[in-house]
Amino acid sequence: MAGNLIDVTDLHVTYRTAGSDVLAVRGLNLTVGAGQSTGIVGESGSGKSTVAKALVGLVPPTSGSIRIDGDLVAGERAKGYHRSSRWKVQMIFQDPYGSLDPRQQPLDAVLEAIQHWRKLPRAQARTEALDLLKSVGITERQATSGLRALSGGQRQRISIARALAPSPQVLVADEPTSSLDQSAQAAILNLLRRIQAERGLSVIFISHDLGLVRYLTEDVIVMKDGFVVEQGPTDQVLHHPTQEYTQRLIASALA
Amino acid sequence: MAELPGAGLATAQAAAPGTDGQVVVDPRKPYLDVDHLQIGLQRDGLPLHIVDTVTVSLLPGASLGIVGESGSGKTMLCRSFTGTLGRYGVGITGGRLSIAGHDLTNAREKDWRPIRGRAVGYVPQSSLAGLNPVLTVETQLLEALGLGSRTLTKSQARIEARQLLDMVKIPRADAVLNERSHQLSGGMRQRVMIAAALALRPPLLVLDEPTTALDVTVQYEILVLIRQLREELGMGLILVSHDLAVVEFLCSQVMTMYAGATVEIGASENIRSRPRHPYTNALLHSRLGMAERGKDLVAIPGESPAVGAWPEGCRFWPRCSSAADACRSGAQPAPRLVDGHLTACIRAEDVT
Amino acid sequence: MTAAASAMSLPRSMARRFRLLPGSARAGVIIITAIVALGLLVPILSPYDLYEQVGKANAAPTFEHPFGLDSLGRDIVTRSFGAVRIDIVVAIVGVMIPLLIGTVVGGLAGTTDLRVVRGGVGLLVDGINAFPFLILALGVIAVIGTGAQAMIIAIAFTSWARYAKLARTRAAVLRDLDFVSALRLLGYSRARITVRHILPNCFSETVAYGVSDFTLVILTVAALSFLGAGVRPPEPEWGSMMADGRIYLQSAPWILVGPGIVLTITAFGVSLIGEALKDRSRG
Repeated sequence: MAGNLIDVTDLHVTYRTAGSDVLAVRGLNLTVGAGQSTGIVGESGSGKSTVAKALVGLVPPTSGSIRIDGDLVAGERAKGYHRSSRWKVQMIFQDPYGSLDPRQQPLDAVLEAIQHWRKLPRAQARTEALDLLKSVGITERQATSGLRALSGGQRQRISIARALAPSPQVLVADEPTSSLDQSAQAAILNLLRRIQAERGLSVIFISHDLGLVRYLTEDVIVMKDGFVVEQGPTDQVLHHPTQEYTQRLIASALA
Repeated sequence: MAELPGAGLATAQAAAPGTDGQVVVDPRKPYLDVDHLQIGLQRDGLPLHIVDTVTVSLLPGASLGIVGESGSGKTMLCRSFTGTLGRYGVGITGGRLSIAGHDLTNAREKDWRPIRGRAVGYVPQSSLAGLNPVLTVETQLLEALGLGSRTLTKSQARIEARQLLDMVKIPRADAVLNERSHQLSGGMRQRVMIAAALALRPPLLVLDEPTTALDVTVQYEILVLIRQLREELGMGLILVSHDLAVVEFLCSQVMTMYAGATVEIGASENIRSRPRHPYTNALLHSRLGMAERGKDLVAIPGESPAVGAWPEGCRFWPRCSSAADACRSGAQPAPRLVDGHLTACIRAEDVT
Repeated sequence: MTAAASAMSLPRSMARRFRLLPGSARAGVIIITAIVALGLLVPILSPYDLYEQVGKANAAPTFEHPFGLDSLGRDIVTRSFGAVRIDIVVAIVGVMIPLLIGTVVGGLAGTTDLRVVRGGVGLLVDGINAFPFLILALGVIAVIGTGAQAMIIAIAFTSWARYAKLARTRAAVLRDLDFVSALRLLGYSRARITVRHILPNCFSETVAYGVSDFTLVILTVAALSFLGAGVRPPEPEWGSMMADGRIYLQSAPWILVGPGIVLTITAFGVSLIGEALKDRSRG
C-alpha cells in the first residue's frame, strides 16, 4: 500500500533447533504510517520480540514480506537491508547493560554512527554527536566518561542517541523500559514521545505492559504463541476486546 | 518440640503458646516491631548505612507493602526479618528489631534458628532461581518441613509436602513432587517457593518482589493465590515491590522507602488518595496507569543517590520540586503525622 | 593495543591516563618504572662489573655489597638489577607476542560463523592447552636450541593458546550481546564490528590476564634456566641466579635472597597494574 512506511504481509518466522522447529510468528500483517505508533503486546513466548527482530532484519522471515518505505527488505526476491535502506530502521533494546559496547565512551559510540553515515569533518561530527546526546539528556561530562558510572536509564538514553544518529524513519523499541525503575521509565517514555513528535518517527513498541501500550500507541496487536489474537486501534481493542485472551490480559493488569 | 498442629488446615493463630523457642502470637501486641532500625557495615572505621532509619510495627495478621526503587534498602530490610544479613556482610547497627516478642536486635545464628521458617516465612527476590535444580520438589519441601529436626516420620512428611502443594493450588501435585525446577513454569516455581515458606505455618510471610519476572496473567494468579492464603491461614504479610499497584492489591498498609529511610507510611487507601511526601506523590503519578495519552508522565529528575552518598538534609531534596532551604540541611526528617498517616516531609502540608 | 600504542606516542594522554588510574595501579606503575630505571642505571653506575669477580666467593652482605657476593665472587646488587634488562624483555616479549596472537586468533574463532575455522582453532587451542606447559616449551627448545631468543619463542609458542581460549570464550559471549545487533543495524560491516568492538573487548580480558601472567613467565624463565635450557651462565638472570643460590641455601642464603627481592617487588608492581586492568574490563 502506498503511503505506508512499514508494510508487513503474512509474516512467518520459524526457528530451526536441533530437536524441533519453533513457530515463533505464524502470520502477521501490519501497516504503519509515517509518525504513527503501534504496539505489540504479549507474554513471554508470544513471538513479539521475534517480530521486532524480523522487522529490523536481525532474523530472516520464513515467509511473507516486509517493505520499509517502499523498499522490499524481506520476502521473495528481496535484497535485504542495504546502505540505501539500512539507516531507515533502528532499534532500542531491553537490556541497557548489554546494548552498549562496554569499552566505548558514549560520545565515541554516537560519533562513530554519525561518521559512518555522513562524511563530516571530525570537529563538526563531534559537535553534532554532543548535541544529539544533549538532546536525550546526556551531558558532555557523562558522554566523555566511562560507562561504569552510568545508570540503566542513562545508558538507555545513549542507546537512543546512537539509534538516532543515522536519522531513521522507524524506531523499534523492544521493552525499552522494563528493566528500569519506575521514575526512570517515565523519563525515558517522555523522551521517546518527544523524539517521535519532533522527528515524525514511526515507532513500534514491543511490550508486555498494557499500560505502556495504552499510553503510547494508536494501534495495537495482541499476540499469543506466535498468532495474532487481536489487532486494531488501541482504544477499541483495550476497551472492547473481542477475544477471550485479550480480556484476560486486561483483567490481569492491575490499574 | 511439641506435636505440630495436624494437616494443612492449621491456622497461624493455632501456633501454641508455650515453651522456649515457640512462636507466641499475642493479638494485642505488634508481631513485628521495628524501631529506628539501622542496617549497615563498618568501612574504614566509619559506619556505612544501607538502611537508616526505619520504624514500623505490624499487628498479627496485618499486611504491609514496602515500595521503593532499587537501592532504597527495601530488600536489606526484609533480610533483617529473617536473620540473613550476615550472609551479605552487613548487620544491624542501631535501633531495635523484635518478632513475636523476641528481641532479635543482637541475635546470633542460633537465636534465629527457631524464628526462621517458624515465626517468619521468607520468599526471597528472584526466587525463580531459588529452587535447587538437582533436587526434586519433594526433597526441597521435606527440607523446609524440617525433616530430621523434629519428630516427623518420612511418610507423614510426604503427606504434608503433598498438602503444601495443594495449599498453593498446584494441579497434578503428585507428579510435581517428583519434578525438578527446570520442568516447572515460572508461576509453578513461585508457588513451590511459597509452599516451602509456609511449611512451618509461620504467622508472617515476607515476599520480596514475588512477581517481578512473571507474565501479567501469571502475576495476577500468584497475587490472587497470596490473597486467598492470607484469608485461609490468617497470616500477616510483608510484600516488597517496586510496583505500587501490586502492593495496593494485597496490603492494607504501605510504606515508601527512599535512600534507606521510611519516607511515608500509613493506610494504603489514605496514601493513594492523599500522598503527603513528594516522593510517594511522584511515584503515584509516574505510573503508566495514571497517564493520559499525549501528556507527559510525571518523572522524577535525576538519579537515586548511591549508598554512602546520601545528601545532607532530606535525602530526597536534590530531586524534589518543592524543596526549600530548610530541606537542604540537618538530618533526614523524622516521620510525623499529617492527614492520618506518617510522612518524613517537613513541607508535607504543601504536597500536591 | 591501539590504545596503548597511541598513549605511548602521546606523553600528555599518557599522563592523563595515569591520573585516571586507581591508587594501587598508580603505585604499580611507579614501582615498575623505578625497577626499569634501576635496571638501566645500576649496571652503568655501579663500581662493580656484571661479570668480574670483585671479592671472596659467597661473601656475606657488607656495606659495600648490600646483597653480598655470589659463588663466583660477583656483586649481587649489580647482577640483580643487571638482570632486569633480560628478564623484562623476556617477559614483555614472552607475554605480548602470544597475547597479541592468541587474542586475535581466539577472538576471530569466537566470532566467525565458519564451523571449520571454529572447530579447527578449537582443536589446536585445546590440544596445546592440554599439554603441560614446561614439556612443550622444552620440546620447542629441543628443536630450535637454547638461549634467550629460543626461550622467548618457546614461551610464545605454547602460551598463545591460553589467551586464545580466553578470547574465544569472551568473543562468543560478546557476539550475542545486544550491542552487536545494534551495531549491525547501524550498517557497520562485520569486519568493523569485529576489529573495532569485539577484539578490543577481548583484549581487556586477555591483557588483564597477561599482566598477571608476567610473573609466571619470569618463573618459567627461571625454571628453564634451572633445567639448563634458558639464559647461558655468565648472563645475569633472576631465575638462574636463584637456581645458583639454592645450592648455597645453608651457607650463603643471600645469593638467593638478592634477586628474589627484586623479582618479588617487580611481580608485586605488575600484579597491582593487573588487578586494576581486571577491574576495568568488567565495565
